[in-house]
Amino acid sequence: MWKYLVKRLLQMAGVLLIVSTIVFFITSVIGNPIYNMLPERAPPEQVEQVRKMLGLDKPLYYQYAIFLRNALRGDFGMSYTHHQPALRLIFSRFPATLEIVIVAMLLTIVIGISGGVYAGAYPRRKLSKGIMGFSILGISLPSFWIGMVFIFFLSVRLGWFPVSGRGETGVFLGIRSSLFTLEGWRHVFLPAFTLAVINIATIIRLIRAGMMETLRQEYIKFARAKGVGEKDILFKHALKNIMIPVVTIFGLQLGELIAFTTITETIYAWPGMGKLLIDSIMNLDRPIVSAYLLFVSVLFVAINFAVDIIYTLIDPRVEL
Amino acid sequence: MKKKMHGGGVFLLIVFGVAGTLFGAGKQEAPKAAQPKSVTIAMPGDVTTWNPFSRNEVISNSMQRHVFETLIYVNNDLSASPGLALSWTPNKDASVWTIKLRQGVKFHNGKPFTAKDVVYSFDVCKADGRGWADALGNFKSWRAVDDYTVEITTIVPDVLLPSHLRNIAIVSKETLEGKGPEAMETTIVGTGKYKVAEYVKDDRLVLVRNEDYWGEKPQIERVVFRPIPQAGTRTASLMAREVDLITNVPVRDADMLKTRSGVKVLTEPGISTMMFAMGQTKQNPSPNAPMPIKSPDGSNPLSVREVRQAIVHAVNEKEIIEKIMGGYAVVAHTPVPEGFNGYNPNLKKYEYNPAKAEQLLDAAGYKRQANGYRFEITLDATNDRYINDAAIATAIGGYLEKVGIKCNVNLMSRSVFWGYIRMYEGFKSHFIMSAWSEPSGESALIAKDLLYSAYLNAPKRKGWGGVNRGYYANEQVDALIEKALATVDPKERDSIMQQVWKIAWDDVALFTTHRETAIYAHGQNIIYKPRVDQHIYAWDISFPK
Repeated sequence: MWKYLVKRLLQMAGVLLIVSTIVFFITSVIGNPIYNMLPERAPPEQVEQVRKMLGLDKPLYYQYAIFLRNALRGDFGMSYTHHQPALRLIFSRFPATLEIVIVAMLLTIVIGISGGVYAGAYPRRKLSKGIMGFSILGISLPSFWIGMVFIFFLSVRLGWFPVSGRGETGVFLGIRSSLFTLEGWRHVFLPAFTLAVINIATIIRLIRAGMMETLRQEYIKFARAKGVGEKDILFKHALKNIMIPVVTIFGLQLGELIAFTTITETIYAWPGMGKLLIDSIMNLDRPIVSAYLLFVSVLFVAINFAVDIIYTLIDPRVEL
Repeated sequence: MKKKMHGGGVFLLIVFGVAGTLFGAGKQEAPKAAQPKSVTIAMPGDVTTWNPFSRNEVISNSMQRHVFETLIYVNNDLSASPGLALSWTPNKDASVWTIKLRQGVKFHNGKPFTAKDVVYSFDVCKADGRGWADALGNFKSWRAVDDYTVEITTIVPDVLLPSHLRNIAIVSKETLEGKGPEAMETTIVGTGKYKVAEYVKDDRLVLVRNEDYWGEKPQIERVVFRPIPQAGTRTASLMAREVDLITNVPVRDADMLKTRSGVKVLTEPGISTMMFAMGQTKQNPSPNAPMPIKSPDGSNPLSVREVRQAIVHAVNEKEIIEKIMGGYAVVAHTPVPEGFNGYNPNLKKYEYNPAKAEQLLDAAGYKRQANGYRFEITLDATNDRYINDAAIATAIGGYLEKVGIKCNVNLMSRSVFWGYIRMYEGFKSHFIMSAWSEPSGESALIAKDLLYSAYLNAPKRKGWGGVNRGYYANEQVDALIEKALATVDPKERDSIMQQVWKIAWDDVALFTTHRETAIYAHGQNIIYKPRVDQHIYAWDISFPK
């Protein structure tokens, strides 16, 4: 276990070094942020002044060395446009993104698992066909379209949910979040559900296929013969045995949700990290883009690590 | 399959039914944004920075102007009125300006406003070097004569110096000095009509009326700015009455909103002009272009006046406005909007006439070759900066194709564009589409940027001709622009500038097609009067009686 942990940490360091190099050089060769900050008529001396101010006058390898040194200390520099430390800006947006991601994942677990188990256990029932129809729609429809349709029908037409924004936030244990107020939940639900649709659809299909296969196995027949109740057969005997791929997909989804909520956040004007990322890319705000991508890499490595640990909990035969 | 879809719908209904009941929202009315005397405005973005010197774009400017004031205010007809300055007087040749400041003005934190703050603001603006620093380009020095008098000395005499003072925000020296650039982002203190009550980046900016304001207080007591980047979401937010006023309404939504009761759609022709620069030097203006100029004899066809005129004749600006802009634009004959000093009513864009264009091209010696083309050029344009910019550029390519000019359309994101077309650096561009606007109402300043001579490797004069991307050079025009900028009498300046534009248009220095019409929509609970510079100010909003 400890050996594994050390190995994983070393791997993580390697991944981060590679990612940081790629990120630095890609952001450095595309466009020139100076021209996005200066007025079009700015004379060459003014360009030079700003170039110096941002440290872009130094050769690229030198800039990279400084970047690496500062990154090791957790300092990704000041945002070019917002004049604040890049990492602080990202962390200040993190709670908002985490909110919709947590709700989306909860919806995925509850609806995805129950829907998948039901559809797998009783494939001929009408509701099962409905669930599978939903999952086809969920997989094939793009999230920006789903988002706009939700807004139009549920917010504008029916007035059930607010159209956009984060709403009132409450404070609990020093954490400020929309999840602590009822009004906040009304704001969270639509973006979270939009985000969750494709994941719910994927999980449903995955579990249904696994269930249908597992329920045909000998040990299920044996359990039935033994007189085990239907609920226990489905959730204890069958579901547990198909959880390994589900947990893998779930881990990947979680990472993707946190990192790339951009589209959903843009549609619902949700003040999370995704919006910050897209604005920073448009403004060529290199410190934010590189800090963001490194942060996301750390996140992915950590989630994969957690997934590996969970494997051993689900299936004692798995060794790390 | 149909049956399945139906099932999917039922499943969805269950999900939302549960969610709706849980939040008890089923029958509840959507919350009204409009409390008494409060207005919510949806913008396509948030203020980029609270440093009022480092960025010049409409959204940041609009929001910052609620908090920070400038020495001189801009009226909606672009004329000036006293802001923090009471008067501004030049010496005889306009090389030294004396600014008398308003007394008894206080910053939001109670600190008094004096000449020290003006000097400090200029210092910070100059040191920042971005955004508005070029407004100080002609300022040699500035000093506080006494507590309420500031004296500015210019590098060259400048009769239009006050137009720059409209843009430089005044911050509090006592509050900010020695605290570093980050302080400006967190300590948002100005003298303006509104104070910041709450600011959550990318979520909301809540402003409350400054009850100690020195001038007339606006009717609106509380303003909420909400950044909503997605145009469809802005429209939906207005329809659900979550916001009272939306900006940048897309054409498709404008036509739909017009049919709805309780919503009013407003349009205002802007001052931003879509223009096309043509690299007209004898020498190849873009040796490094990935798709360079190709002509049979290796010359630069754009250096020939008749060729440039032919290109203008080939472009159908009315079709662009009707078909691409959906009618939400007006023809721009020159970069000078009507009502500006120096607007010449007799100048028209060379009319759309492809046959005449072909004649001119033939006469200029660029006959169609075996492949049907006369020569090849490349139009550099953005695809995410102006309304329908990619479609407009593609249309221009098509118009030129019709008269035998092979025109490649090189579209790129705005994050790359400004560096790509930069003068004196990349040498990649010879035909450029971009927009220009000048909020001072003075065409002399437009000409100073767009027409003053520039040579391939360097500007003729530092800080002049900075956007003359076609490298138009005409000594007579230069002399007239210099003369206009030294002429105090507006009438005389007007006649000089009319002459300048006449010469430049005879030379086909550049050409223009249209000005975008800004589209706004608001609920019937308020009345809004849009501004020509497209800034959004809460004091332009009032409640119906």
